Amino acid sequence: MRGLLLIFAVGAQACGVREEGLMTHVTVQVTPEKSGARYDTATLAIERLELSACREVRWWQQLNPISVAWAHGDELAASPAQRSLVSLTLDTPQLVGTIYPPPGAYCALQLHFAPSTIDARSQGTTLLLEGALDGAPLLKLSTRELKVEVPLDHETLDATRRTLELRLLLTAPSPMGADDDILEAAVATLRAESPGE
Amino acid sequence: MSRGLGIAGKVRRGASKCNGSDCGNLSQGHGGESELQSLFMLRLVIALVSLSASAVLACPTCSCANPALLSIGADQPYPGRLRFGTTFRAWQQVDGIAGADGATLRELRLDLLASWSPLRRWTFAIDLPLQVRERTEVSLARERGFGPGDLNVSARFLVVGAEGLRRRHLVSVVGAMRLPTAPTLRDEVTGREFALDAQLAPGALAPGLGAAWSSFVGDRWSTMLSLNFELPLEGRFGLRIGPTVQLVGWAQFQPWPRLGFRAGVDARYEAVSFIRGVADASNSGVLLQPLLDLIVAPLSRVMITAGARVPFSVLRSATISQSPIIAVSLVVDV
Repeated sequence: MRGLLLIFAVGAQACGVREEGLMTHVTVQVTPEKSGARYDTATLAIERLELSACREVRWWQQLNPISVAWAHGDELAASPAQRSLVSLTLDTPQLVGTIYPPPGAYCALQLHFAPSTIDARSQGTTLLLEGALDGAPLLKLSTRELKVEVPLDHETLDATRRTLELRLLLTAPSPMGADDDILEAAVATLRAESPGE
Repeated sequence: MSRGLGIAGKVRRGASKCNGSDCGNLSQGHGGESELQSLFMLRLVIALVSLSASAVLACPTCSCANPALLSIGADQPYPGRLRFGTTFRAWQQVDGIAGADGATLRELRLDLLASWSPLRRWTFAIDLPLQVRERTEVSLARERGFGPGDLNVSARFLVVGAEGLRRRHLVSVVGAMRLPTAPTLRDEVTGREFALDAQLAPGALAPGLGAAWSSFVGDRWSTMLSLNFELPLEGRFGLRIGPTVQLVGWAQFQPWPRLGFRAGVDARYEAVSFIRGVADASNSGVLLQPLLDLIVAPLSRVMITAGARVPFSVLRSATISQSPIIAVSLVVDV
């Protein structure tokens, strides 16, 4: 009977432990542009961030003398980071998402830019530049959707390396030119680095 | 996450319902034999008598009535019988696509069971599960907890078959109640609550009602059919698992007095669940579990059952794959 009571006493004690998994923190660091524009609002909306796994090339594929193009899609890691808004006037790192990928090697970060749904001021715009330039009102906006792939340096995540810090460097666009061109010019400056590597 | 819990809950509930596989009739030696067993010659005589009189004394299969209703005293009881048992189970399931978004659930579970039959027709049973559950996400994030699950109490009334030593049919009704005794698991360091699937049980009151019919064909064959209904109320995190109907049927063949084989199927239907009032149909549907058990009675008051259930689903929309459920149980009459 004493043994039974002991079992019940032990059983009544509950305990739990959580072990964090693999994660990738993505920050954006903006280099301000030098046109002299004064912005009330300057934002860039990111709809989704995804890691793209490196494609494994088998030895028999390497022997293939014919060049083969690989389609993306099935290499994307799960748990994409969702919706964030980058301020193009801040020059401090801005966290735009955390991705929780499965173990693997990652060769690219895919960014999907789409009209914002998280902020009333920039609602419906992918890029919004609003302010003044040379004393005249300035309004540039784009509602385009864009997908951009930023190459990574074969970043591996596994049980021994559980966290990856990715910093995206972005140069704020000049407000000159057509609205959609400004958006394209901005995302074209993106490149990634992983601090501490 | 709730999807998995539904399934997990199902597995849990299903597992608990397997406890009845422990329900072997230990009635072949109701009293006095333990003293005799210390003497070799008398043991031999008893063994020979048991073998020759198996048609009368029947042994584990004879009164095994309702393994589906978690009462290890589901066979034809005798007044004053007290029975203890334990069942160990192991199972695993993956909810989602492995390597992409699948979360893996694993559980080891030890049920502590006791039943008491104060009268010939009435049996009361209690089942306290102790569980170790681990949930691993695709990112290797892991939640691991240990503790008691939801306590299950039941009362069984034998409608047909209470009188006489060896009836050809037993019919019983069972009322059961699952109590929300499982604590909410959380990380000991941060205090953050575990995901729903990582919790040991839904933490809901769940009344149930059922009926079972056993019949015995000759000396070596027996069959059992049970139908159970459970209506869980709202539990932890606003989850209300859909009402469940379970049908269990099996046939048991016992070529020797102390050894038997059982094969059958455990089928259940679960209606749509709700999470904070929002319908979640991902888990509703039919789950079939063919079952296979080996039953051994090494001593007159001891029964060991080892077996497996192989779950596969029909009409279930969720991408859930379950491993076979391994179960080993030990039942002792005191």
